[in-house]
Amino acid sequence: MLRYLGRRLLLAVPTLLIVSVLVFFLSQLLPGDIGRAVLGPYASRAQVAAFDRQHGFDRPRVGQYVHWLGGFVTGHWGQSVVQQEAVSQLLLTALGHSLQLALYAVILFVPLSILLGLIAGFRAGSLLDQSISVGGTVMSALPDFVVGVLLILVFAVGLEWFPVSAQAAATGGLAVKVSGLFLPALTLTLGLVGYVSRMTRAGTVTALGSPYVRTAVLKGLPRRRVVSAHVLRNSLLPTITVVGTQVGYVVGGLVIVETLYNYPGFGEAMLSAALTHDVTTLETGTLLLAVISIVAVLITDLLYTAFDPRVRRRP
Amino acid sequence: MTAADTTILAADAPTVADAVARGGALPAWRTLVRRPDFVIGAVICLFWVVDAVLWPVLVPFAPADVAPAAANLAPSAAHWLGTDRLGRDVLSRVLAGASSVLEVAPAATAIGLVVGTTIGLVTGYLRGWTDELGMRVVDAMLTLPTIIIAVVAVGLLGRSPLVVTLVIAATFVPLISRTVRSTVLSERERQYVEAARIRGEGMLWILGREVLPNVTGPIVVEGTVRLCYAIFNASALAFLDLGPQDPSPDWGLTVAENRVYIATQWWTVLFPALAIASLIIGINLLANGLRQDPTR
Amino acid sequence: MIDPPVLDVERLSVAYRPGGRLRPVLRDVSLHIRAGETYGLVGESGCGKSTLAMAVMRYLGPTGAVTGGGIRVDGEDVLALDRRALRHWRGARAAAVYQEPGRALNPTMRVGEQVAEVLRYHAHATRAEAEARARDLLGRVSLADPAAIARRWPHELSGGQQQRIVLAMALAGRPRLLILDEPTTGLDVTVEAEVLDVVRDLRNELAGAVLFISHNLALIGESCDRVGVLYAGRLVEEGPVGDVLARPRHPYTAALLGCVPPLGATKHGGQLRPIPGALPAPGSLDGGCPFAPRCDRAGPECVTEAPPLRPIDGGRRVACWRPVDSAPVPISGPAAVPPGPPAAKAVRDELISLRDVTVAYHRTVAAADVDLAIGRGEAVGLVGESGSGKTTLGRALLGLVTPTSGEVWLDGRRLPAALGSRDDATIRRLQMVFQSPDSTLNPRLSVRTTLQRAITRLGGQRTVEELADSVQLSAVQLDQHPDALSGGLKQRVAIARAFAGRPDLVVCDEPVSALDVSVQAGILQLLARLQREQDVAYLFISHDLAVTRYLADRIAVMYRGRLVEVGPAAAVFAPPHHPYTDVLLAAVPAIGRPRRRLPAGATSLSAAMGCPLADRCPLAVPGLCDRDAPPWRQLAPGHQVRCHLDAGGLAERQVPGVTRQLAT
Repeated sequence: MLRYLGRRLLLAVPTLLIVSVLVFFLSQLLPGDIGRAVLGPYASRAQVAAFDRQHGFDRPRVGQYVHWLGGFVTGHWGQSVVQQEAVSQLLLTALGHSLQLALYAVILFVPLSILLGLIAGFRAGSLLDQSISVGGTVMSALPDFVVGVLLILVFAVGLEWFPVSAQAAATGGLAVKVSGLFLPALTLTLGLVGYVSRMTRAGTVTALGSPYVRTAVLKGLPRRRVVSAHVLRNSLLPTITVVGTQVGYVVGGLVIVETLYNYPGFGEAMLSAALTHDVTTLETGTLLLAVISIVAVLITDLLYTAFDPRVRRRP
Repeated sequence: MTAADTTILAADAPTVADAVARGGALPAWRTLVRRPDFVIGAVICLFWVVDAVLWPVLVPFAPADVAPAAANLAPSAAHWLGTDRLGRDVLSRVLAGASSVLEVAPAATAIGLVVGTTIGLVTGYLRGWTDELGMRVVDAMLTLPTIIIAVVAVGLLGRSPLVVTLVIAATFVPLISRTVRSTVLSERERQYVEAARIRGEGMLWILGREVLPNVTGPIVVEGTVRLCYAIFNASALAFLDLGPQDPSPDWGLTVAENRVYIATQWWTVLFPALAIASLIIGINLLANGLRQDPTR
Repeated sequence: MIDPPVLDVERLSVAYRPGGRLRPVLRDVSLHIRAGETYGLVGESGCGKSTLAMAVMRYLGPTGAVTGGGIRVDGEDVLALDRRALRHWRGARAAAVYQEPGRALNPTMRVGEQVAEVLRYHAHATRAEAEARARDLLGRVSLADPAAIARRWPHELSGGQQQRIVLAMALAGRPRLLILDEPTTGLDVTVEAEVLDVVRDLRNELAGAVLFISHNLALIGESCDRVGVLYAGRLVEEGPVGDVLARPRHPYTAALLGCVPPLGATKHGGQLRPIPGALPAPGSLDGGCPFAPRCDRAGPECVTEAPPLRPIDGGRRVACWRPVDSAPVPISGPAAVPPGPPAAKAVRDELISLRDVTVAYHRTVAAADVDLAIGRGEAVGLVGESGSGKTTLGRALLGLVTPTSGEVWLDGRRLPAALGSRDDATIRRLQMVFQSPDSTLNPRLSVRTTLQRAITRLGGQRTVEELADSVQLSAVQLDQHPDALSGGLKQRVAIARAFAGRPDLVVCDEPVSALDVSVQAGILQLLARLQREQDVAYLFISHDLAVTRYLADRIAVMYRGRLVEVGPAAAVFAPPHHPYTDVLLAAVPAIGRPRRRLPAGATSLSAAMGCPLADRCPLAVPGLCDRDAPPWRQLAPGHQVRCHLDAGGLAERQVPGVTRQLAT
């Protein structure tokens, strides 16, 4: 097990390196001079030059890359070029907010998806199954802000059960968070339920049609035993993987939801960094996101190997 | 690919793996027109496509016409969908908004498909170091959510339709090439491909005549899914103020501009949102119709 | 009052209903099995034998339904059982074992628990009791070290072990009826022998009845007391197994027996008589005898009315208006094919050879130190069980696999190892026919396109029509796509494709293994004819000894990646020969010859040094065979074995009639 973990970590390193190169390259795409882009067209040339020198933008590109990457790894993330704050402060508070929202969403969507997927799988081919499948697919294809807008119209404006904005929830106590973050979490959930429940459904259908379930039934086992010991154990395997990868994705994909609900999360921070050309924040933030993604996938993989004996103990 | 990936590919039955198992065959036209989901989807999509081209003829008012006297009117006989804060007719703006998303999304999908398929075909067939390198890069790109990549890229490069199109296309390439590659991986083991190699056929023939025809099914399915996400991303970028600017009637932009008024002038937000929803649902239904088992 | 039969099927009809239309799969089938009896049900694909098994277990699925007749087990009406009763009935009164044991076991549950489950839910045993009894059962199916095996996961076990676990599960409830549906298909012949021995032993303990379903007549012949022959959903013949196989009365049974090459038959003897026509698609026939279109005795009454199953003398039943008379079927019948040149062919020049070839992947060695030469126009058979490396060798010849070391020589010149480095002229001379007819043709291309392309690319001088004609494909079939063709026809197209450029060597990799018996015969005859007409050499790879013997002039035997014997076909098949060959031949079921027993053997890892067979060989010499690699010894000109024992030593130990077996 440990060797597997080690091997996977090792494989993650080149991926991260490539991401860092891509991210750096992307940020260098800014047309023209960085200092000019940040300070605007009215700053003097001297000011721009000073700015560049201060932040090291006048050094050769490769040097900048190495310096940045080294800083990232050692925890020295530098200052935002636009805001008067340390990048770490900026990003980590925002990350904290996003993680809370993500957690809320996960608590909502995971049980719901599994339940819907199982229902759809056991009743495969029926109208209920088709509705769940089509409904789920449609929901996940709709942009978050569309779903969010509709939810807001119904629950916040119409019924007034929840607040329209989640801004207060960032700093408020638990009760404020629970009510303020409900709609954003629900918006996210509706987008994620479709895909995950489809995976669960597919896993269930496969398990139900498999020869080993036939064996179990023909052994004369009671239905609840067949379902619990033979169907569920196997049908939920793909779900584990999918939930894991979705969680990794969710943290960054929150940008739309955060903007819609005015929630100061990670996605929102990245958006304003992009709009204001805050290069340092942008680079570090993107790489951080990649790290989180990879860690989530790694944890998922480990969980998976813990549950599926076929993958364990590879020679 | 991780241990779990193979299970996902196998488990994602309703979409790609299913089409692969069917050997890339698409249902015949005759069966398609009998399916309600395909027909409804086709009608919706056709409506919006026609509208995107003909909206100057269809709109009751000019979408950019400001009329302060008629500001913030609820839906009525004169203005079916109401007016916004500047007195502009919402219906006209909704009808005109189709062109902004439809000029970006299909092109982005097409470019993404072509580039992604080519990469997928070549890396899947050749294996070796091109495959390893290609897949590392793909994996790297896939660690980041597409919306963030789009946000960062457009934020830095500018928001013209061309940039948006190319950026969205670029975010599709990794996923498409991965899907195509995995299909090619299973196809290349087929005995008729080996028979072709034994005949001395070159790579071009094998990819073009033996592999590609059997892969078109999954590609089309994937293509329709990508189209939905292209619309998703294009309107999301507009929503985040990274797309067309005011006074464009773009749907995403309109939702963003008017959402502060959602409590009072709900019609300015609802209808553009529904327009987006209808287009996406239309494509989904169309795709559903294409995707189903042709023998049922 | 005699006891009712354990299984009593009375005029059973079953149909499937996919998408609206009704497709009858079984019609009016009646049979019964008494306690202590093993009844074999034989038929080819689509005949409905598996459907019968499913119907008895009431597991037809949502699209299948019993449309008539009844099923009783021990007098109890199975079709009338409600859900609760059915659940109690399954496992306790009737149990089933299917093929592909690996897939029949839950991959996420330890095998011991899967066996114990049956005891907990049927016998209401406590957990501890159930576990103990499960271990006991594992021992009874001859699994060594049951306690350790019980804790294993299914994927950690070999095919033979898995099937024994499935058997243990089936027997745990002490059922009165045991159904075995192709239980050994896909298993190596030596493993098959072990599994069947276990079944035979346990049968004597069971008071109940066994229904044994298979497509393999020889297997049924040696395992069953009575046999029933199914064709297109109808039972056409039934009777004591020895009698039916020696003196078939139904034309189909007789024809089927004529299709199976008896062990020892060769292409020169003309004993294979393929059945013209094709198997009917399930559910496609109505009215009239289902076999009439292909029967050479059919008359007008056969087409209009289906004959009922009627008893005839000797406890037999036949459904035929014109049954075959009761003279025994001659083993070497009138030749349908003119006899070819004398069996012993003169040794020709070498065409192609593998010299000292080793193929190794990361940790596994697929083939090691192989020297094999094929002469012009010579058919060399390569036999071995799974993991023997025979497919790898064929692929190495063609360049699909690059040997780790060693060379391939053609016409006295060294060939580049990889296919991509070979020139067109060489490529045209070496072709291949693959195993699975379903993936051997590109489903998007019509037959004509496929063949035309082959002709263009391989430089053939013939037209597509001529090529199709040479493999007996009709003009109509040329314009069809593969999905409209049966397995046998697809394989003919594949053969035509390989022969398009008049190759010098065709590697045939299990070309008939996936085909029904009646279709196999036609393909084998085709291959034999093409060889004669075009003087082409074959490397015929197969696990089926009888089929290989039919086509091959020389035979090479492989075990775990090493060649252990090479020689003329007749010499290899008779002692003295390599001990492994001896065991293989003993394990093969053959009609009219009782098989010798093999005890259960655990698969152990092959020794890196010494003879790979050292730990299982009945003639092994301790201290020698497990330490030193055996040398090649010549038993006769052209006949070599790799063994420490010399010709004399082998001859004196391989006395015919004395049991020899592979050890545990």
